[in-house]
Amino acid sequence: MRRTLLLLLCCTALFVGRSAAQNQHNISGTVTDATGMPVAGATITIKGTNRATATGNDGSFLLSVSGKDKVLVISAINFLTQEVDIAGKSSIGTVTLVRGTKNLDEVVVVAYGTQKKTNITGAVAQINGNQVADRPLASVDQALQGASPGLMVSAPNGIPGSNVDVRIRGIGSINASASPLWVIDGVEAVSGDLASTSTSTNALSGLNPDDIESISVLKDAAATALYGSRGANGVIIVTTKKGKAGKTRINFTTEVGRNSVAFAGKHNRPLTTPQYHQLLDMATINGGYATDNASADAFITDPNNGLGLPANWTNTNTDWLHEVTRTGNQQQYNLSLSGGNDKTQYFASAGYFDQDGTTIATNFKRYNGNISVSSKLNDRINFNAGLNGSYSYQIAPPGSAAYASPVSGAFFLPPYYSPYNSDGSLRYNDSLGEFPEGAQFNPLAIAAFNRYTDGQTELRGYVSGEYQILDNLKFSSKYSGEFIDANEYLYWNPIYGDGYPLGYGVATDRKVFDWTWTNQVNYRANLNQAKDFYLDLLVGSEAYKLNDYTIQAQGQNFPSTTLLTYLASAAAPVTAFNLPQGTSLNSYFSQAVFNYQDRYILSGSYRLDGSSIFAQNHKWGNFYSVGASWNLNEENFMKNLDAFNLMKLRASYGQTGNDLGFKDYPALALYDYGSPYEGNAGSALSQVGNPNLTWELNKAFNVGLDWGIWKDRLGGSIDYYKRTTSKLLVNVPLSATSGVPAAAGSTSSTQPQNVGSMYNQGIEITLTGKPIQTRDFTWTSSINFSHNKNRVTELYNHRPISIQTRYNITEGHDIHEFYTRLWDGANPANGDPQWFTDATRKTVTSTSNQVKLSLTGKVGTPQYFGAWTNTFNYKGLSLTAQLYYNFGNYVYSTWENYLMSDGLYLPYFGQLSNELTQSWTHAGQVTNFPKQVLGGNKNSNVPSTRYLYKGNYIRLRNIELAYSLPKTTMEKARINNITIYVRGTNLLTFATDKNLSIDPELGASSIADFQVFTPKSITAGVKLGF
Amino acid sequence: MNNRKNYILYAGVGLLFLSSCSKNFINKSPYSSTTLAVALSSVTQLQTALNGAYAQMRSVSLYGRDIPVTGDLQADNTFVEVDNSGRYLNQFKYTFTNADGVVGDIWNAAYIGIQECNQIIDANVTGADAIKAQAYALRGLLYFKLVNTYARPYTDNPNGMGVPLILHYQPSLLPKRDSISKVYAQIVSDLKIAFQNGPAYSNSGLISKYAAEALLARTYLYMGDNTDAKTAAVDVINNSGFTLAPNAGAYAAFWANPARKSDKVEVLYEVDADAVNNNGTDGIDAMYMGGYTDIYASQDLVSLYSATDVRNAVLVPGTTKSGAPATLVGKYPNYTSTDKDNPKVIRLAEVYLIAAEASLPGNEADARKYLNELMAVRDPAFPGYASTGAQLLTDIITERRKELAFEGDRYYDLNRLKMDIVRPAINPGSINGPLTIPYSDYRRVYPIPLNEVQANANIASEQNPGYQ
Repeated sequence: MRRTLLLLLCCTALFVGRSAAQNQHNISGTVTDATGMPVAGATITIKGTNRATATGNDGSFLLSVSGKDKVLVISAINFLTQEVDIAGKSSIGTVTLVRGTKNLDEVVVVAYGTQKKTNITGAVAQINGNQVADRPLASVDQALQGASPGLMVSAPNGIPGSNVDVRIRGIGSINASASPLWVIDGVEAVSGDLASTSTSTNALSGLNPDDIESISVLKDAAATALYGSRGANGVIIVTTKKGKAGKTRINFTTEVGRNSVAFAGKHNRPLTTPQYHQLLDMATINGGYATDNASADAFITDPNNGLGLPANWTNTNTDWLHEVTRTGNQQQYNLSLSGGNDKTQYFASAGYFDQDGTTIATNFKRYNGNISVSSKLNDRINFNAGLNGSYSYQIAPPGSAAYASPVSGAFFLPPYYSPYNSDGSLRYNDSLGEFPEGAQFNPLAIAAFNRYTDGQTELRGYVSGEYQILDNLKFSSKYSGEFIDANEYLYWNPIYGDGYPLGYGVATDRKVFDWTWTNQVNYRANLNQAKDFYLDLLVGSEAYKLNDYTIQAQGQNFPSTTLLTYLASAAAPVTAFNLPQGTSLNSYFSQAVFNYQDRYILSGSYRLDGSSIFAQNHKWGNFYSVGASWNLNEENFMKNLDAFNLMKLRASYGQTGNDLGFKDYPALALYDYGSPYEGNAGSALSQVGNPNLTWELNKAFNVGLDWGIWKDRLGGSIDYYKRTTSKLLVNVPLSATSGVPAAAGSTSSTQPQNVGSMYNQGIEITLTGKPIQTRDFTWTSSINFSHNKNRVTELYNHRPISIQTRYNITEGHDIHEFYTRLWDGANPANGDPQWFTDATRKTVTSTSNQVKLSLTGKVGTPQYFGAWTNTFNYKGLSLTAQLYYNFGNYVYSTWENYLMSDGLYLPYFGQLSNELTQSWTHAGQVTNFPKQVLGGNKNSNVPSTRYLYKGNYIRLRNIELAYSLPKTTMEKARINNITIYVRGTNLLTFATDKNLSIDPELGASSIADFQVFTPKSITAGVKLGF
Repeated sequence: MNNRKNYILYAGVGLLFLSSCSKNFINKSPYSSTTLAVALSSVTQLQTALNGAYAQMRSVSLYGRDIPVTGDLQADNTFVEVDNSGRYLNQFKYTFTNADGVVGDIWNAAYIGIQECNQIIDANVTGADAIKAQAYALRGLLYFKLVNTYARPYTDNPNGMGVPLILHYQPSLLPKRDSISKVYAQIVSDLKIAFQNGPAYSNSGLISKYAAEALLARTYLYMGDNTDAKTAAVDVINNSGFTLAPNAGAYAAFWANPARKSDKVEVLYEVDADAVNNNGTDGIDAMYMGGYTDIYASQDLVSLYSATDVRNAVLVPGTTKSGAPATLVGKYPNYTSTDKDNPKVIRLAEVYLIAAEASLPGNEADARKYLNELMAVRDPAFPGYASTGAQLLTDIITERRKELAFEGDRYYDLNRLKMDIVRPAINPGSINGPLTIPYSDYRRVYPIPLNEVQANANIASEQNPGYQ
């Protein structure tokens, strides 16, 4: 039935098509700017058709037209569009374009093609590739921070090449993925972290940002509905660079520099040994173990009745933070080659990227290459192919509070431990009472002896062809695929640390191969004689398949050396397995856009998705959107108002789905064979399944206004949206007596069900202007602002869902509202800890077990964020500065209750300086820090809002000073362009909470978990163009 | 012209549906799983499912660690030292609530094991009696642990609330608690079937006929049914063919050995953890010697052994990690080897002690006989017990404590015997000092876990006293 319907649609499209044009001939010309410089990449379109070509680097073009074609439309970015009459001509000579932007004629990459900006009814932001290129950031997602309102990008970890949290218009899912769909040259790409033993990796880190032409961020339903069941969290479309006809161009860029820790809490740092000594004396006396400092000192070193620290313990003063952090190197080199003629164009590039992280034992290297070719077989048929490949190698230490984590070592290790023996060798035994078993290891020894690596190979490629069947009818087919191989190795040496005494190794190889085959027909029907009322119709079908294959081997009993690190040297195998997984999706989609005189636009899209994830009766889902826009500036009454060159009102509504992050077979009740016994296979129920499971459903409304005045001297846009997600995937608790195993993240029996809903609503504002524009000097300023409000409106049985310990998702609250004990500082009378007993904040107690966990009213996700970018150009000199701001959220410092423990973890854990400087010492003192008591002060350190900090920060994300040498100088050397620059990345960070000990940029969850510190980089670069 | 149009039409439509696929394209089956129907369809599949159930017994939340560790730690045999990994602190200090991890984990893991047994028992497969018998035995054993952990002892009030008795796979059921006596009746029934149909002994990692009967003897003992307990225990002693480790060397070798055995010495059933299938750094060995090394033998216990007692072999003098002199637990010494220690579920020594205790009060001679047969190999220099009356029972219980120390028995003995838990003095390096938990204390049983109370409205009103 469905197919018949589509067939009919398609037939209609074809029948109304006109017969093939006749009297073909070529028309040529050259496009220049006012100064006579050629304009490369200008689009030449035959009016009333979608047949087009682009100019080469010399500004020339050649296009086949028929006798009936009367007018060419010439458009280029930063120029006003012109129409040229071609009746009876074979050449139009030189056309001079006038500078200026008329956004309406820009072409924007959207779902399954491009669209004139005029025709867009949805919320789409297009980001130019040069905004993300050549920055000291390993992956493109990181470079998108601040690029568009509504797009929240936050790197939870400073490990180079690690995963980055991207959220478009808030968080729309609890248990499935809240990340957008990435589409890279037609590849519906795998994103996120593919690793199993590594701390954090990024499937997108193999893509060199220098190879990117443009990025489109699709935000509302009108923009994403064509992606149907995978569009709910927004879509990011990446288009890589393609060749341009004309003179061969070679571009070379290099950037080198240094990375160090971007943010360190100035007021709340690990204590030095003298400070620690002071604190320990204080806690010893307060604990009643001594009466003065002298007797406290004696108690501290007394091995029998005291703490038994070595007599000379105060002689060692190690700054562990300093020991594990470093200033690392940063370098990248990119070379590209582009050229061709009007028949065939090519682009090829190669790149090398190398970044040291901010702590020991972190590094990321990427080697990549990219090639693309476009070729015209004849006037009607062209082929395109591209391949982008890379190999990257990441070294990253264990995270969180693992004994081997260098960051937890930096804070947990007390300053009187020494990393080195007196002979300078690494210290790693506890005969000196340091690094005892079952506690933090010497991170320097671990960094030297263990291996934690991930080698990632990525290939993304496509082959596509277009057949211009008729002037207004185009068929295109694209096969695109992606291959990612994540090859991890973890080695624990047998001499010291987690691997003691046997040694242990895990080799994991995960291969992901997915392909997408898309066939589509684009058809334009002119609905009136003037050809200014038309319908653009798109009909297509798509097949998508993902294969995911993991093979892993584990071994132990390594030779007692740190030199033989591979499994080949392990005497005993532990386990080995291989496991394929996979999903498939079959889809049909269609889109219609009506355009009347560029004034009124009406669009509608529809997609039917069939997925392997769901059970027989729930495999197919319908997704759609409708959108409309009104280009007021095309109205006569506005055309007369010269001031407004753009005034566009947009509105859209639609329904999309989300199955990203679902398991592969959630519908089925299954037995797994992963519980062997006595060496024989063993099976057990692994999941209860739910045959009624379906997609998470996202209904989104958007209304927006785009405006520009004085030839875009000032312009901007404002959007309001509300997206409601229902049928949330929730692991509903069953009685544990069912014996059903718990889903990952749950502690007891669960069944996946579609229950619950939430909404995100917000406002996005962009303002761009040129306050100063003279012949030699321009100042461009752009600011964007986002506000998002999340509310969970319905949950299973109205019962909260606990996630990540610190959140307890509750109806009527933000999904990321922190849930913990409410801290009320120290009792001024006696220095005891105080909490509010519950959320009413009426009763205060010093008895920790009378304190209830409560919603705090403080949320982890920023309420307001955005960026302010200023660019100053003076002749060849340019200065760009981007400030990123993030306000209205809180961050929880997970392990600080060990570091601010009021005596509990003395003398085995390092403590933070606020403990010494702010703790209660005398009656009447009002402070947040209780009295220090050796052995602890009434559980004062149980997790509470005490360890919750304001997350507000402003960061100088990017500052770049560049100088381009004058063209006259370079022409002699046959160089097109030389630019030299210096750049600072994350150079300055202002956090409003003075007591913060950690970087406030912590990813979407805002939970600090001893992540590797975010780097700041100072780099210098050269760009050469030939 | 028309022809051309048609050609274009057909080509266009054809091309468009190139990427539309056959129906099977979006039907996928898992690569490493089967549906329930397949998984329980034949004798070999049932044997595989039974292996899975055995593996579940090794779960860290069951015999893999939680059950044997807490059975001593909540009593008076062991203590957690100050420098610890944070595990079992609530159990040791008696500060657990219904949200405690271990409280929830044991419940969940036991019911998962019961579910796996139910699927095997209910499978419509013939010729699988011996397989099903083992599933019955495991189910009986799990219910025995559940009812003794989450409900008051049978000896307290058989009509009190036990645990929900789930005998079939019904995932959406929200059951109420069944009475203690009903749960025990089911355990007895399961273990009897296991004894009748159970397989002959092949190795210590599997439940043979006599292992089931030994568990049955223990069950009767807990019910205060000494007659049946003695009958079963004596049958095991006389007819199973198992023997005690005959001397000090054999005893030490027995505990040093991490491999499963087929020699019928000492152990009737243990949970096998071999070099490949084990709990790694989460194993029970990591709690005592190597790894976390958080838990040590209490001085109170250590002082009970005479100098000539062969069991001193598993009491290893040393210090805590933080340096206090302490006795390390030597029953799980294989942290550093690839083959890990097998936690013991039932040993012949316990059967002797059951026979001795169950001979009371009627037959003190038999009680002394079985007790002294064990003592003769454990402490050859000891002349044997000659006590009578209440003292004889006390001696038997003391010998149970010494013999079964670190195997998770003590806490349950104190419960069924309605005795107070008394930790008389602080052990050097212990995180917690002297403590007495009277028999009447509500904490002598665990609460129904919070997750269960929240997911199961029918059990919400049936929380144990003190935890509501």
